[in-house]
Amino acid sequence: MDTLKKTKLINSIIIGATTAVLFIIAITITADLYLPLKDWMKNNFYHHWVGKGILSIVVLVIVSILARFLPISSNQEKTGKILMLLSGVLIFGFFAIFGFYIFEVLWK
Amino acid sequence: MELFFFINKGLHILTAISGVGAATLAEIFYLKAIRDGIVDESESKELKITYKVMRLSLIILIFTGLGMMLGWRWELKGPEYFYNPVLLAKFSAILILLLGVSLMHARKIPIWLGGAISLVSWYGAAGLGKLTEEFFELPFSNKISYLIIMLGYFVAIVITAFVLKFIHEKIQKV
Amino acid sequence: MSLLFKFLLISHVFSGMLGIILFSAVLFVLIKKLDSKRIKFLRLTSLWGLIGFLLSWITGGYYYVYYYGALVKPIIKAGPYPWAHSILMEVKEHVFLFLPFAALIMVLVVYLFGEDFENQPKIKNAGIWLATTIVFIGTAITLMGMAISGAVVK
Repeated sequence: MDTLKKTKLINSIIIGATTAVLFIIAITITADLYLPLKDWMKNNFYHHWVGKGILSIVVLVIVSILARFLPISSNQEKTGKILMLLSGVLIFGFFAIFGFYIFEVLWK
Repeated sequence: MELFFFINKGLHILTAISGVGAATLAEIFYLKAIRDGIVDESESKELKITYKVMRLSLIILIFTGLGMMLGWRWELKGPEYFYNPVLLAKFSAILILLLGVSLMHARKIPIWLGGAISLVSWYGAAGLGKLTEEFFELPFSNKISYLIIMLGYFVAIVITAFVLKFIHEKIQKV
Repeated sequence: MSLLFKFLLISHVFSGMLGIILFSAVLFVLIKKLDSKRIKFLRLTSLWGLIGFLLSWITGGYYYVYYYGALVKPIIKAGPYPWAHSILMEVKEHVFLFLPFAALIMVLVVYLFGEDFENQPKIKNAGIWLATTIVFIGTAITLMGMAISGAVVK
């Protein structure tokens, strides 16, 4: 595989994974605040957790395909930057979800 | 299942012993190696073997430790075992050991400090591991908290680090 | 607990820990100067790490959906440590969803850019950060799992 194709592929999948992680953070918090969403996932995927997992994989696939057409995808310079962004989003997600459930237990 | 947990515990104790031994030997071999200012091929080989034994011991120790905890979970040992200050201190020592080794590996901390963290953590974790299941039978258990154990652990690291630094400097001067 | 659920719990714990240890190995090797032998090691280790997390995801998910929710969760919520479920398990089950994605990216980066790492220090550095993040989240989740187990009382 040539460098351009490699870079396009990896950059678009990193963007897909970053969006999937952001999606998990958003749907976790939203489904806890808006119960009909949690019920919808329970009804359609047997359990809300299974629903979140399946939907996040769908997000990864769709966004990765769409991101291949973004100009950022062919730039090797950007790979390091979006990879760092993914790590940042993962850490942010960890503390955001932790903070949210502490808030829910202590103040709700 | 009982046989599994028996073997698991035996293996846990054996790897704790081999880990402590490897950590001690690693420090001795390192001090021996730097005496003439050059770490030659055979000295480097000795060190590599002891580090391999240490790494392998740590990996088996973690898995067998998890195996023991699964046993506690099935026997519903509850907070008395899982929230035991001795066990929490043992976990902290292992996490600090991993962090110390990573920083030493990345050359972010001096070797004498990395060596002190490794030695104290290995000896500390082995000693605390022995105490975990017997902790509540000890007559002074109500006087010991997580903070007291960790304070002792950090004091031990500081003392060991000073001793190792002193020895390193003395050896390098000779 | 039936033998099936015991097996699932053991598999969940051990495969998850295997993933963490393998990504720790990835981190340690990434810090060093890379040659072809180390790149090969990185590829194999990260791939097995991803497989470990996926196995842990599937076995833990099955155990959670069919056993924990019905039998363990009510005991914890009625016991003296309800926060072990309301905070720790909620965080664990959702943050766990991150790990396979992060691990997949690590595998792809190592497979596609392994040879370029020494010429692309920014990508290598970002790889070190990603491996550190995976190890950090994995370790935090493991500790939460232990704390949750401790909240199950007779």
